Amino acid sequence: MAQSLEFSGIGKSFPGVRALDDISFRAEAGKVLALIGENGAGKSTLLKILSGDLKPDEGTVSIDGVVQNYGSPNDAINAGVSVIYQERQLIPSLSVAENIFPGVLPVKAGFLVDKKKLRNDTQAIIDKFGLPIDPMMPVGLLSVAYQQMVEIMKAYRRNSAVIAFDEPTAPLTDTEIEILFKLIAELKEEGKVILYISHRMNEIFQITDEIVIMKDGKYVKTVLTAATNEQDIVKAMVGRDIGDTYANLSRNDAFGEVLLDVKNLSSPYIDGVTFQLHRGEILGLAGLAGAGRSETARAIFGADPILGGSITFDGKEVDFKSPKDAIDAGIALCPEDRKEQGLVLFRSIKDNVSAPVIDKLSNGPFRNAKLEEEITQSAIDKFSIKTPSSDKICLELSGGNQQKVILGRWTSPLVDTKLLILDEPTKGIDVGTKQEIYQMVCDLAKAGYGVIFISSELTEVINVSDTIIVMHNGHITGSTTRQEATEESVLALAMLD
Amino acid sequence: MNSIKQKDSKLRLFTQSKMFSLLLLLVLEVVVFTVWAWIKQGGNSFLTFKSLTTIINTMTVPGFLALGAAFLMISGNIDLSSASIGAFGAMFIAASIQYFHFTWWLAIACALVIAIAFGVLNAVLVNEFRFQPFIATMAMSSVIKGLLAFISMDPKAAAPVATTITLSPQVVDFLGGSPVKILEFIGKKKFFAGSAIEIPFNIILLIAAFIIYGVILRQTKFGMKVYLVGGNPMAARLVGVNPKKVSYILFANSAFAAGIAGVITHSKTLQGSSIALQADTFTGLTAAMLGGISFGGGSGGMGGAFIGLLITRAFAQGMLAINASSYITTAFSGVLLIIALSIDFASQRRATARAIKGV
Repeated sequence: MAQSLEFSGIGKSFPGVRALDDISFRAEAGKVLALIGENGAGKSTLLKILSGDLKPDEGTVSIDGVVQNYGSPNDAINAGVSVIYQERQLIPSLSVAENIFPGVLPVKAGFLVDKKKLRNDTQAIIDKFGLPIDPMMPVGLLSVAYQQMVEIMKAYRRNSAVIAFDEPTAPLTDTEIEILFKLIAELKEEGKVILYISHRMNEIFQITDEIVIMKDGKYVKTVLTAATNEQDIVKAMVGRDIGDTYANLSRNDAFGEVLLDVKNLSSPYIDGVTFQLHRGEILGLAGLAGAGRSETARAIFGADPILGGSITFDGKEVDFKSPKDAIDAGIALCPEDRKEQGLVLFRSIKDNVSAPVIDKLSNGPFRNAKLEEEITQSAIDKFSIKTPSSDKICLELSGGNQQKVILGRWTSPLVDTKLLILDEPTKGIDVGTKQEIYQMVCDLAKAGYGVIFISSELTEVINVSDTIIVMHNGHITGSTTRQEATEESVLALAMLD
Repeated sequence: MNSIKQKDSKLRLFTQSKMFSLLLLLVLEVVVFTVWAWIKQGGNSFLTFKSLTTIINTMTVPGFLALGAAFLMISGNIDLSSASIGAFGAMFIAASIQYFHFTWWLAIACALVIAIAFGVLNAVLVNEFRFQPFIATMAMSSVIKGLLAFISMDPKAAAPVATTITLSPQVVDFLGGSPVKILEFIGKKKFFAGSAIEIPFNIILLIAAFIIYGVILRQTKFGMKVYLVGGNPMAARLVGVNPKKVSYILFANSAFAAGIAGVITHSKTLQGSSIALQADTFTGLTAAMLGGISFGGGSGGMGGAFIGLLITRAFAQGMLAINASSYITTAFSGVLLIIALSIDFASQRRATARAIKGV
């Protein structure tokens, strides 16, 4: 069993970007080492070097002092390194056992798969971790959490000495996270070297022993988890003191008249949803994944069929047949998945910002390039989007800047938006930019927009919103205000049956 | 100093552009064929005005197919039935004039309307029945080929065996005029006839069409919607674009362009044949893809498609110049398609890699 993993002097450049610069640190066996940094700090690149996906330009990775020179991910696996990514690399139609033993299935009579041995071997591993999984169950039928457990068991079966986790808890519920942590503790007992990448501070404090902080592709420092606190870490990550993120927000406290009045709204995914939103108000929708928050937004936006109930918007009862109707009335949706639903990634910032207003920018069939440039520039200035020009394609922007392009799109002077629906606006965005976006949302409320703020991050949704509505299973289970809300009370409502 | 620097970077930008690599590919192709033909024939037989004239003469029909294919592919769709639709148009014109004495404009108008109807049917299959575009249009292509064979049979003949309808030069339309004259103008009229380069009337049509479509794509609101829908239909819908409408228009347009290709095919030969255009099933597609129009949609332009077209035509002419057998030519056309697909694949990967680096 390996005793240590060591990075020394790792450097990696991509055209125009120094992704990693002289990264050196050591991870000991039997400890969980957290790797944290803002988006773009180089964590993923480092992980890719560890997993053999990328080759470093300089420096070495060594296990137990032996320099590893692997040329492919397969070499890394053979050297005892397993990386568990957020996107699982399992074959859904094959059984748990076949996924745990890919390519090394036990054989009898020369070529037949020894089903019995396969089953028993797999069961032994499952028992080791005390999981309630049937070895012969197709992996596709398991929940996301158990699929991840299968991934971990695969790494265990390979007898990997180094196991790295990349944001493993992102798709998991709280109970599932507990199971994962138990498994990680088990692996730690066994004396594995464990790397743990996550954006979630409480997890890092819960399970890690040491924390390596990275910033802009450089190693900042290693700290003992027991000897530090959240504020110090964030300070080291962003290189500045961001103080109390929420207390410093400059908010709007003068609401206008009722902008949106939803009564008993039902769609195939939600049932009897009722709430009111005023101009200048930020209404948070909290709840667990699948609670019906995005679906409420889609129903209001005319993207899903409505089965019952009424929507009164800006004083008029409305019945939107398509998103276009909703947009024309003054509602904008910034969807949950920026890349899949929000942006046309291969088009420029300009095209993406002017998309909803192309028909308004000119009369007749031709585009108005001058106006397009103008509204895009004003969006770039207003939201401080970092780009050399409005012609840069959105694919090349960071997550935070992509989100700002979407905000800019819906707040340009020509769209006439009154209600902004923000679905997970800070997903995958680093701490510094998150705070920037919170302030932007507050500024939009000040400017008189009604805002629906949907987020899975409890802290965020209860601290940014003025009013919080909690959903569970397609229903509203309660509502509260920012002053009264606590994470515990909202979570209790979110899990209410 | 500053302005020189700027010029320099503009030049560098151009050398890194897709257009530049396309032009390079075209030049490379011409050089290879010239040398090859020179060695084989003992003299320059490729880089001549004669070759150029042939290329120009044979460009129009695949050109119109490429035009429709390019537009549709930018929106993320594909149409494998356009060659059949074109052949049907050519056949319809022949049959309607020869047997029913349609006047020329009525025959052409009807052929185009029928073509558009096929295109709309394609769009219905793809949008309402949710078929994969290539399956839907392949099936449609089969249907059309069958109909084509059916209408090519001479109703007056004792045994319905004919698969080609040829206009007799004396045919008179119901208004008493001769439709053949106009058709011959469209198909065979050449300006500067007898000089080094002859300019056929129909190549002017093609170039005009490419310019018009290029302008539509780059300068109009509709063109922008085509890019948005091709790049991300879901996002396009959420900003108020109607992807279905765009899809209907583009399938109809692809069929319309194929119809024009059919009109020109007919005008060149004064025939309708049940096997016309069969060799051109993938020509438009190959040209569009070589021209940098991504299979996945959302990128590319008409300029690239035109160069792609030149590459495919120069290739066909080059194979003639080196006296390659038609079998080999067919095989190498396949290779050309594979090259086009590889270029598409490689550029997609480059873009993704660039994006990862950017984060």
